Amino acid sequence: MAEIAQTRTPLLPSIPALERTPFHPRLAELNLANAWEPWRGFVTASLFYDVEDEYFAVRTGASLYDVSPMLKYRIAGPEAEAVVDRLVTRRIDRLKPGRVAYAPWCDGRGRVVEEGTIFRLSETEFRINCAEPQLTWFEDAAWGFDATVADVSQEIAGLALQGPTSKQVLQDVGLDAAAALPFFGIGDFATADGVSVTVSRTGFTGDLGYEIWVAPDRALELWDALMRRSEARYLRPIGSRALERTRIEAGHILINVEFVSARRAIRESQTRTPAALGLDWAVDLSKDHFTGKRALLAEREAGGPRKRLVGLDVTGRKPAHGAYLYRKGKEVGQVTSACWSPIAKRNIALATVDASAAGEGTVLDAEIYYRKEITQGKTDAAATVVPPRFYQPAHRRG
Amino acid sequence: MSGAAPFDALVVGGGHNGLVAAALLARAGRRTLLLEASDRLGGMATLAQDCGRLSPTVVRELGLERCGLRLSARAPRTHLLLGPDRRVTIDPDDVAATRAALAALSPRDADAWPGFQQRMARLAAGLAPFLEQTPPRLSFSDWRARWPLLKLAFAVRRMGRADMRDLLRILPMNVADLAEEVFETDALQGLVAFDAVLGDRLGARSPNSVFTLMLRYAGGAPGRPGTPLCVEGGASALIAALETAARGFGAEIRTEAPVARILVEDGAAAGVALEDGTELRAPLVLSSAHPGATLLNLVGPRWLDGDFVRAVRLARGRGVTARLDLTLDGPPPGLVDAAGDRFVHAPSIAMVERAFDAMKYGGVPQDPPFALRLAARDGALTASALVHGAPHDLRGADWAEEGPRLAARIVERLETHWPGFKARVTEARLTDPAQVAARFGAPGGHWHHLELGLDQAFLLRPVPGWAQYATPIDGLFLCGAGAHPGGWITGQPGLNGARAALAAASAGRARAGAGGV
Ligand SMILES: Cc1cc2nc3c(=O)[nH]c(=O)nc-3n(C[C@H](O)[C@H](O)[C@H](O)COP(=O)(O)OP(=O)(O)OC[C@H]3O[C@@H](n4cnc5c(N)ncnc54)[C@H](O)[C@@H]3O)c2cc1C
Repeated sequence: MAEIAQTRTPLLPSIPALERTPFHPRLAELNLANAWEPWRGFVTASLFYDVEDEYFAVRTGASLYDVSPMLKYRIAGPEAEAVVDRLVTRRIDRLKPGRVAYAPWCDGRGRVVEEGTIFRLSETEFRINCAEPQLTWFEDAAWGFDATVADVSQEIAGLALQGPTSKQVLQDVGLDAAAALPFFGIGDFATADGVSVTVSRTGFTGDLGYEIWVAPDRALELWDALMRRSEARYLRPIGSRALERTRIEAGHILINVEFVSARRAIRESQTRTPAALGLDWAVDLSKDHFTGKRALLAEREAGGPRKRLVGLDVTGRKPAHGAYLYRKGKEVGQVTSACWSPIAKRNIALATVDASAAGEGTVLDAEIYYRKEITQGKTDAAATVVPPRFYQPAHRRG
Repeated sequence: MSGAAPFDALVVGGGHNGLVAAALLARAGRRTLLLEASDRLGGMATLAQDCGRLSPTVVRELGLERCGLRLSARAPRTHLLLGPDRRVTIDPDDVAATRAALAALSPRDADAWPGFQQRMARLAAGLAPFLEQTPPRLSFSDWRARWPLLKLAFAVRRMGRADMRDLLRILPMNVADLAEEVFETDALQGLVAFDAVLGDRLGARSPNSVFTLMLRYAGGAPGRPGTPLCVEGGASALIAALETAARGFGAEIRTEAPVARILVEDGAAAGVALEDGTELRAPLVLSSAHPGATLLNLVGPRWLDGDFVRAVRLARGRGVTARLDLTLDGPPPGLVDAAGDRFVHAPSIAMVERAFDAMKYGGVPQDPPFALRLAARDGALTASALVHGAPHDLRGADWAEEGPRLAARIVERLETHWPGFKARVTEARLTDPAQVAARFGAPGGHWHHLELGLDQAFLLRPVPGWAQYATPIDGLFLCGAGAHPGGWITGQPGLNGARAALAAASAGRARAGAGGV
């Protein structure tokens, strides 16, 4: 009786407990900081020991980041190509099997629903990786076509292996052929220990890197094989904090930071078109119809988006988190992501500003707020608009 | 392009709305071809019993009275069937007789009846500006787009404060609650409830049912608000007049010409392909067919946004109305001059609601409400009933079996009201919603193509954001019952759809002209 009473106490919220990824047993042993955070219902490491060490592993050695919580959808069938082509803003008929494309997808208003990587596994099978649930969106996209959509997230665990020595790490574990994948290539391989994996040459850090996809029941074997090379290759598990810095340096946008999904936004003003996010390069308005095309043509005809995502090079060393941006005293935008970039030795930021203030070389005034022990400090800095690719080492394509 | 297309505009579907649209396009000088799948014109109107809601604007614009249409000054009578040889007659043209007849039921209801008619007519007149016009676009950044909204607001203001309050109070109600407020006899409550739900998937206690009742009172005879227009010869005479008008303006009409696809090039309509493979090209295509059939089948999802396709798929439109046709070998006993009159079996709110209860779960009601009319055709006497009792999504049974059973039950019911009726019936044939769907290419077989309710009306019809007859395909317009203001024989979707297409075409021409300079 007493037990029942306790489990039903109204003070205990009945939220579901966070799930653990297939790599969790190893991550838990290594997480000296015991720093965790939720990611889509899974527990994921914020930090293992030291963010600087983890960051430099990405930039000078190699790193492992558990991407198992990512959502993965399989779209397959005779008309899968047509489905994906109508779904996303890029030409998918030109994507060959064994290749990956990054692309956003929009709603009918041309507002970005999400973005992700699209694996073309064969003529008739695709896999799309993204951050937020898309099952109904994809099913709607496939309606009326001879293709099926399935959420395969739970069937596939994933590790991002990123950093200049990642190629050697792969070779060390018998994945030579995977190591030789071209930039944005993908294929099926087996490790020296006989673990079957799919490897894509993709990542979120802007560095040389791969993502390794494996069946959950072989996940630990894969982890152990890779981590045996930890000492030799300066290979470190990393948490989300180190990753965040590297993705800002790479200029990758993040959902709920640089934009809100068009399906979730409460205010229409928080949604963005691809052009507003600097993704014009990933939009082909001359291709056949895709969802949002008419709206995006209209946007182009009207002179482009009213706001744009830009990179900023900020003076001083105070990260411009959430800074207001002014031009001639008038507020023109806000910083969405910011950090000090150790590798570029620059104070960098991603920001959304009025199109009139988005020209490269425009100098804006940044009003930066920061913690000064127990008070808030404020400082003014000059912020120069630059392309939002702060770190693009040649070796990432090498 | 290989030479100029022989047509400026193609109209898909030869129901009354398609005919109205084709006539208007031809009158505006467009070389117009109408394509009808079946072997006869008229569409669902061939199943209708009256065309009391025909828009006077359509009659005037197309000069239908010059094309043989004769409007009768007489409004049809309604006889309530209340048991063996017990009928109460409501005659809009004879107030005193109606009062006396109703007083036999209840003196209070006899008092209330004319006031209720006037009240509904006044409130429906308040809705009229919404029905006759193309709904405005909701874009608050554009002043020009706000103007029609303001005009509508003024039109509603003209109703006066008391009516406005009344309208806002009763519009979201269900018809049973309203009828119970006003009348005390089951017979009148049942009639009002039946009139509200017939044609829609509603029960007497469903939300939206006051709105659908009000639509019944909108339009109608000029100068007699709320009274149905009476066309001599009924819907078939109307269709004949529309055909004469359309051909007279120079439109070409082809029957047995089912359209298989609407051709799309560069996101714009380019013509149609017929089922026999013939391709016909034209820069304007208007479809009076069901919006889902038009957009999902004839155009196809390849050319449409995913979220738009979802909205079109989700638009509700599963019919619940059947038509029963009876052939009689002689007049039922005691019949005097009842041609054109309506006999209604809907003795109470409870029975209207019970019929809906069955249909909600995909069942066929034991005793559905219906409206019967008698007609003399080619010397033979026929009767037809519109029955609120035939769910398109029948569960655990099929219409091949349920149809004849339902027909038999209705004949039995007529016999109880009208001893001797059954012996006169030589043939009974039920047209269920599945047959309506197949015959007119309207998935769901709904009498308005898409259900009428506040959530699928005005700005929200056929789907939110696309209420201006235009579609995402340039040059493709909707002009049938699935578009605003919806079904019934009104001609308004055809009228508005053709006007929208003509306006867009001349704007496009002006733009192209300006670009050339
Ligand atoms: C049983 C029943 C009784 C009714 N009773 C009444 C009544 O008493 N009073 C009233 O006002 N209303 C009544 N209605 C409603 C009214 O008839 C309809 O709302 C109205 O007729 C719709 O007209 P429309 O022209 O928009 O569409 P439809 O009449 O449906 O016309 C569409 C036409 O398009 C054709 N078509 C479809 N697809 C294609 C294609 N691919 N190629 C070529 N042609 C195609 C169809 O064959 C059809 O002829 C009734 C409806 C039903 C079903």
